[in-house]
Amino acid sequence: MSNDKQWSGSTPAPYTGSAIELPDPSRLDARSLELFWEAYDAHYDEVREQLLAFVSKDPIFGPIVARMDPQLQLDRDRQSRQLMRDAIVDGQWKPYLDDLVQQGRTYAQQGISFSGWFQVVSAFRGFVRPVLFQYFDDSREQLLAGLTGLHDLLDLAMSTIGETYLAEKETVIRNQQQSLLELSSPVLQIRDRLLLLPIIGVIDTVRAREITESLLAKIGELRARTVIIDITGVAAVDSQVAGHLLQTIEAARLMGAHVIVSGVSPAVAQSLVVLGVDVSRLRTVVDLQTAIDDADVFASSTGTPS
Amino acid sequence: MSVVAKHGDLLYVTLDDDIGDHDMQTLLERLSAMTIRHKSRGVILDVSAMEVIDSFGCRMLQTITTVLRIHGARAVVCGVRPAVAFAMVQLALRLEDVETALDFEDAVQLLHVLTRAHV
Repeated sequence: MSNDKQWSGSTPAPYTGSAIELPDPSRLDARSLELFWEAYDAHYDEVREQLLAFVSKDPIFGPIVARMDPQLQLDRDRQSRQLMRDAIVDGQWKPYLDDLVQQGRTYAQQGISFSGWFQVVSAFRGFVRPVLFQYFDDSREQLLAGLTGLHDLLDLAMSTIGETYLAEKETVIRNQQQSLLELSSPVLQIRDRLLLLPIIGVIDTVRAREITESLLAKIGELRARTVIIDITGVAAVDSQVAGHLLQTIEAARLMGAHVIVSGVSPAVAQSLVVLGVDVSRLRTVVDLQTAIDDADVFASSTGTPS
Repeated sequence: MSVVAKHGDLLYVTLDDDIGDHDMQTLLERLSAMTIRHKSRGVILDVSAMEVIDSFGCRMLQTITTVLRIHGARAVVCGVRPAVAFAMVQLALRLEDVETALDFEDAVQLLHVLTRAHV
């Protein structure tokens, strides 16, 4: 990969996502790579200049390059050039590939598209190709090998960066899922021995499990006598959601808690009846306020403060 | 095995984690006899030591509750652990018509409300 692609000065956060599977460079033809390197290295400055000109006109990469300190850029390019040399000439692939992973992560985190990367890479290909033609003017065999080396190296680099992009996206998705799960099931203590579980949005199996587990833990920890499950924020229920809800209620009841369901919308109420849910096992009230009043009545009837 | 203690109108039973199916049957017979002998009004079944309650355990708790009701006593199961409760609903096990309470203290209070039993 051209060294001209390291513009960012920011250091990405430590990598916490899934491990990236690096491609295996040993299957590549070493001689082809070396021939490519010989020609590229000889015309390095020329190619670098062309690529820099191309990139600075790019709507995505242009501003990033413009923001970057030219000296820092030069240092990085020098370092990248060294890494590429060590990989091709000395067979030291690991640092080179690690560097690519690092670059890929940086750009993925900056929100640069993968197709943007491809454009720069194909431009690089375009600039190196005439160099190879010129350099291996006298040998078609060597020219062919040099071209093979160019394509092999770029394919290797792009698959590394592609893997990094995917891993980065997966990490983002996983983090979002986790924070959604955490956000979505708060168990609130209203007063002594009275808990509120507001449910908002869709309840799937994973979320239902999370909600039930955290509710049961809280019941034990806070010695809850009554639990109000408010489903004002649940727009619709199907048989699965209703099943999950009943399981949560049943589990709370097994621990000795009295469960009141509040905020059942007309649509949800109709669904429950149509689905044939055994509503005789449910204690439902119209809204949260009524539920709290009800909890008080229940508490005084059992002789404990709610 | 399990421990049965009498206190006023109440019987207090702790069920061990390693209680077997046969022990459960023995316990039922013993509780039945004790309830009649002491004219107990309430029985507390403390399951807080149990790490697993399977379908047989569920059925036995239900049977005990029903049998004791015939003898004029109300049973309350208390101390179901969060993990046990979760596992039970996952396995679709229910304690139909069985009163539950969080712990011993709550169970005593509940029995007082249910039976006006003296402790």
